[in-house]
Amino acid sequence: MSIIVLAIVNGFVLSSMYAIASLGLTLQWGVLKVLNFSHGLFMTWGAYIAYWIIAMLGGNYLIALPSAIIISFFMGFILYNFIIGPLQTRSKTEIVSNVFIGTLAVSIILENIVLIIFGGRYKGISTIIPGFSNIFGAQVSNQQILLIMLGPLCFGFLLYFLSRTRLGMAVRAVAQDNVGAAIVGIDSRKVFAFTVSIGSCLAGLAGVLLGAYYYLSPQMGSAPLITALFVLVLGGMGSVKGTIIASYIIGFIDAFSRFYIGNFWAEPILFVIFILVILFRPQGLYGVK
Amino acid sequence: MKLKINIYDFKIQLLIISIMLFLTLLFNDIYVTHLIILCMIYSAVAMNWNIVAGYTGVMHIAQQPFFVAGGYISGILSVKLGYPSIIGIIAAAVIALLFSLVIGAVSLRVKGIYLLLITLAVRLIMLSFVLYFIEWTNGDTGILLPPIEILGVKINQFNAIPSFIFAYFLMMASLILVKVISDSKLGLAFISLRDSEIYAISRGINPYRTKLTAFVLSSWLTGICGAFYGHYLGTIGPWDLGWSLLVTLLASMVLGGLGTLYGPLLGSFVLVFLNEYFRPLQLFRPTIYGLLLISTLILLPNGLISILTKLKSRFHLNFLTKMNIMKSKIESGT
Repeated sequence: MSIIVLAIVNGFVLSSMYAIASLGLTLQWGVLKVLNFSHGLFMTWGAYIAYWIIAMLGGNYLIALPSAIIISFFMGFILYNFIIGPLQTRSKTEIVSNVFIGTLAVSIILENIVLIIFGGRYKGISTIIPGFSNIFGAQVSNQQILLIMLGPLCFGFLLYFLSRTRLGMAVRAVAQDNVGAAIVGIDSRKVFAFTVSIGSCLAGLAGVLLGAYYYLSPQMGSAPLITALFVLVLGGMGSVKGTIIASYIIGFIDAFSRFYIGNFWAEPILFVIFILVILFRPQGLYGVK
Repeated sequence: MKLKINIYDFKIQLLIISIMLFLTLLFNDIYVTHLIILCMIYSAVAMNWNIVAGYTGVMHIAQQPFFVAGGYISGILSVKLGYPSIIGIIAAAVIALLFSLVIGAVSLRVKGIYLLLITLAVRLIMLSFVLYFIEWTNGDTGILLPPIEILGVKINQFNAIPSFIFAYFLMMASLILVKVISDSKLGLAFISLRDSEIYAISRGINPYRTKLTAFVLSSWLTGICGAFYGHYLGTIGPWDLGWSLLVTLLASMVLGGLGTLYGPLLGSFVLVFLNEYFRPLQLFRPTIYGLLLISTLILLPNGLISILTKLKSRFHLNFLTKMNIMKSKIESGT
């Protein structure tokens, strides 16, 4: 009994983390129609900023989490203004593949910088909340409970932002129709930059959580990025609601296949599901074809 | 008899490239030769990739799996099953071709970012298969490959000249393949699909079948290149499926110029030699790599080869204006 509870808890934790990791990516795809491959390295950077503040400067999560998010915001701003923006306007051929190559180059640079500053050795940071609690006879750490709650919280926050605030409405307007948004006086470049920054914030947050839950290494962002891409495709590229549902589906498939089939085959199963989804339902659960 | 050299003739261009390559052997330095061989292999793969990504306009990253599959098949056949390495190389071409047929048939049904993501997943599935079937692939350790033997000549890292000649033939074969394809009717179909798919369909081109043809045509030489790469370096392993080889191949294609004949060649040579030039910077080299790639993408969207074409047109312009001035001077009698 307690093993099934553990699997379910693990499923919720994984889903929650996938949701936070992929919400930023889906927002960027929905508005800019480009795929940001440096998203994974933004997670790594978030984790390492938290590590730097906690382990090297002696701070705690109340300082580390906001500063990771704020630094990620400015990094996203720089990313848009110096790389994605120029590529969007300059490139003559397909924008998607150019932004893919450009952001891949950015991720190489960011990984290299992390490697130079912190070295390649695996690192760990202290848990966000210490302690355990007992749920249906299974020991669940408080940090896992926090992670389970953070996913829906981020989703709710993003949904509130997009549907209730003026800035969120501008973001949705640009996502729907760039020219129409320009006619009513929305500066689409500012909205693009803001969207990339918000996406990077979410990546930074996801990075801190990943670092606290697992461990830190310069390559830690690549696996979550791949999973985030799966979630993105399954949910329908650019749909926030689809993303949250898809992240729970993928998270539970991942957790249960790890439990019943084995750790090794969890990833190949996801890859096959991914290819099948792309082939037979490329618009995903909620997307528009 | 007067010898006329037209620099725009393809045969003359091949001759010039061959002479320049073989002149590097005069350095008599095994390290320089090694670098040139790597350049030639990378450029051969990038040129084949360019058929699909540059000429047909279908961006995918399945070229690396074809390349590594070639290396693994040749390695398994020659190490685990004990066949001569020449059979391994032929098998590498065949397997890469079949592999590309399957992947192309599946993935070309979708477009744009979805195709990119499918080929990404193919790469990752291949990685997990390599790590799972340890009795065939040796898992994390990789396969140690014996040298290729043709007529008693051993081809590997320690026999520079035969390896150089083998790599040279691979590169020339790719160059001729790309040239023949881009000059043929099929090549025009590829380019028309890139420039305007709707118009190409209206002219009676089947986009799916044409793209699949491009995919298959670009794969078999890549398989041979992979097999040669494995035998030459003496090892092939899961690290060859990592980002670093992918970025090298992708960068040599993009840096040189997508959809140009000599772009990947120029790109790979610039990349490999800049990489060596920046060796004193040690750890910072990937950063410089990335910055170079980004600045090329933003400042020179048509690749480094566009500098040469610009220079050429400027030279022509200068030449013509000078001729005109001279002509007018002669006509006016001054």
